[in-house]
Amino acid sequence: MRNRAVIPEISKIVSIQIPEINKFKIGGIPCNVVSGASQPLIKLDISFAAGETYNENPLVAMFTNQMLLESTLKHSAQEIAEQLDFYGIEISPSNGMVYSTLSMICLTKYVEKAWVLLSEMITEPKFDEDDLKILLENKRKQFLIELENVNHLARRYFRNAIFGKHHPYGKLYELEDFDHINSKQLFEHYQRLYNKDNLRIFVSGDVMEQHLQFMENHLHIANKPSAIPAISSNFIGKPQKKYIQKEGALQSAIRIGKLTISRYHPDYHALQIAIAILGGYFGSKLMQELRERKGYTYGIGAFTMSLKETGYIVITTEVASNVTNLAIQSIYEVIEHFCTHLISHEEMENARAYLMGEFLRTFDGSFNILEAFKAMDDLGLGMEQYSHFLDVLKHITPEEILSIAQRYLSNGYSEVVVGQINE
Amino acid sequence: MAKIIFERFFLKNGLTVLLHQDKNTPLAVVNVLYKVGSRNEHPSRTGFAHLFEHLMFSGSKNAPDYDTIVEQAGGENNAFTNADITNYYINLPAANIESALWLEADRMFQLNINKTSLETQRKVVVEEFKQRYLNKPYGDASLLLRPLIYTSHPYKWSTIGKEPSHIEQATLEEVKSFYKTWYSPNNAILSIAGNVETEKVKYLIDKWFGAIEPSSVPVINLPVEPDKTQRTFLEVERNVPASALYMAFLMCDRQNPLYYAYDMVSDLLGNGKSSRLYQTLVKEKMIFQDISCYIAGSIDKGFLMIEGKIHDSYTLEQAEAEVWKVIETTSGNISDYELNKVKNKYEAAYYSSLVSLMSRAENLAFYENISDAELINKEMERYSETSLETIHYLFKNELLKDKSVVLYYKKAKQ
Repeated sequence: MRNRAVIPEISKIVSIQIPEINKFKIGGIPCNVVSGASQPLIKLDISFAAGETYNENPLVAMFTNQMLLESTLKHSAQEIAEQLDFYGIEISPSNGMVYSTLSMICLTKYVEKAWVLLSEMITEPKFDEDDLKILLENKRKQFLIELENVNHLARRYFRNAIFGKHHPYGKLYELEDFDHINSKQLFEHYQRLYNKDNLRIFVSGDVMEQHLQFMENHLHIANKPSAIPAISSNFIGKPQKKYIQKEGALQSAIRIGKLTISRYHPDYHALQIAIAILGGYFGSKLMQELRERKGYTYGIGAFTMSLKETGYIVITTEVASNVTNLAIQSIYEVIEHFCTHLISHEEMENARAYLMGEFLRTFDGSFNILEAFKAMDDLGLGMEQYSHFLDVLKHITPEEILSIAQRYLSNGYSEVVVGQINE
Repeated sequence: MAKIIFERFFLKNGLTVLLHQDKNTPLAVVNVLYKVGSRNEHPSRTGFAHLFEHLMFSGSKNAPDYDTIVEQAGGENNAFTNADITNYYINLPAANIESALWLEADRMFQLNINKTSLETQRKVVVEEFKQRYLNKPYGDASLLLRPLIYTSHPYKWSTIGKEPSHIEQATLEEVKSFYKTWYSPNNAILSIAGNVETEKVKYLIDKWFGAIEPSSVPVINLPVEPDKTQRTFLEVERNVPASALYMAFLMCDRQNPLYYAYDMVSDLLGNGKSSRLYQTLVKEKMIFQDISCYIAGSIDKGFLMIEGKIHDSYTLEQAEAEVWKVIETTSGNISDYELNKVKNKYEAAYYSSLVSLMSRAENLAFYENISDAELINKEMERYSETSLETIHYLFKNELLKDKSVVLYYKKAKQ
């Protein structure tokens, strides 16, 4: 019988199958595959350890990677663009601090075409001066637009604040850095880092044995050692506070965070869960307080980030200008309360149930599974990280959350605020 | 592989139900589409449908805390509002599908409407307004363009609203009456995708939605937007790093077969680096930093939009003249090869749009609202049937100066 007042029984998720990744080498290059698809599509990702931090000028990595989409020794940029568009191949270059990636999504029936093109782009780029000139000018303009956006500015200066402006992770590029980019420099970066020993391949979707065979037969990449500089673990010592005045801004962008621990630390998964409770979903403490109770913002979130050398947490939001100081105060109050009070069992169970569901969604479909794997592989870790996270999530208690909060969240925050700040 | 198989049935109260089974996922998506959007708003209360979407999360009689229950069931949820519809979804472990159905039924039937949540959400939405439209370079361009493209149809205001004051003035009485008018089973489409047992889920749908009374939903007679007969023009000055050009053309409604031709025209002109506008104006002539073309395919007459940011050494007048040159050289001069290119592009985009469970549930409801969910399996054909002649027809008869809407978004002198 129907009784609306009685909530239908909720079943707890008890077991989650951690998907397996098919790992092997093609022509000596690590290739990671998850097959399975609801649609006739294949996703190809290739990733080189050639990110921003591997060059004095942080822009070099981005431009090197972007220029792979331009002219090659065999084809003009226009011919490449024409081929990609003709076969409906989506390609997107992306750049992180450590890795430079090209991602392609194509129809199964055109995967051979896609691979031949991709292979040509990474092995025979021309770094043509004219292509670069246009790209530079356009990226420079995009950068100018970003400088008008409070959120972008806050993101920029936050990294600077926690890593220090001299560390490769904290170094910012400025407008004048665009003037110092030339093809010779990009070609050097390319030659130094876009080599076989520095490459990983990820394939997901509607992929079959014959596709992988084809890929193996059609990739001829330089087999010479890459020169990868070591990254210092010497970060800035003291928390920084930075306030950037932006006249006429209707909202202030706020970033509050600190260096904590990396994914290699035994507490990392517990910290991830604690951060989720603090600001990782709609029912989280920060979202409830700043959005639902006070209406200061459209949204606020807290995240953990991990690099090889360290990890950090960050709280991000954009709030009405006139409540900037109140909002900052409110964030610290929520953190303070979180570090001094046990969360209720109900809150613990809610968070646990939500995160279990979130975990299931992480592995929904082969594209997502391989992306989850890549995030770990980037750090030299594997899918066992997810099993471990799951174990922690199943058993963590409010007491453990409090102890984690006290250990990692109680103080030492850096703060970046960009907006119309009234002192 | 490609066909999306689904079952459709109707409850006695008029609720349309679509079921799509996928045994390869542990998840299920419950998607509820209400046939109300900003086109149904009063001109002095624009932004209301979207504000109301926020209020749908304020809890209902038996589920005072909507989000908490979704989270307890391991779900995530969200919603969006556009000019035509308001769409809600929950994506959760399939075993908990009944929780989602119970929640959606309860808020369709007896929403908690109260002053506190209205006051908070008014503020939240005003912040959203600022974050997405006002406090962002070029953010207000869409607000400026709508009243130029539309003179009589309510598409003339954006879904976020004409101005924040409309949202600030919304009253509790208006909220109640809006709920009563539009949020009823006979004005909704429930679409479910995922690892569900068809018979069981049918029983559950009837159990929780079956007894909700239908209401008399007003028949909407929106004015048909008249065709443009002369160029519409506006120039504004803003503190931005580069001047931007926006050129729009009113197009057909979503059910018109010409819709597909318009979409292909937009791809030919400005989707991707090999497109006509990009190759000529970004690469060859270096007048624009970027340029793109797309369509806004609403239920009633939509529009085709060309937008781009220009280099400082050119004026907006010069840039516009160059766009016209590209349109003129393209007109009557499209090869079969080029046509095949946009068809291939469409094919890839189409399949990409069906990868996630959520988008399958959402698309089924979307097509059902246009006319028939089965369209989801026919879209590909519609594109491949579109002929070169139809595309040429649009170039010759629609992409004309006298039918254009042009916005110069000019960089202010420093």
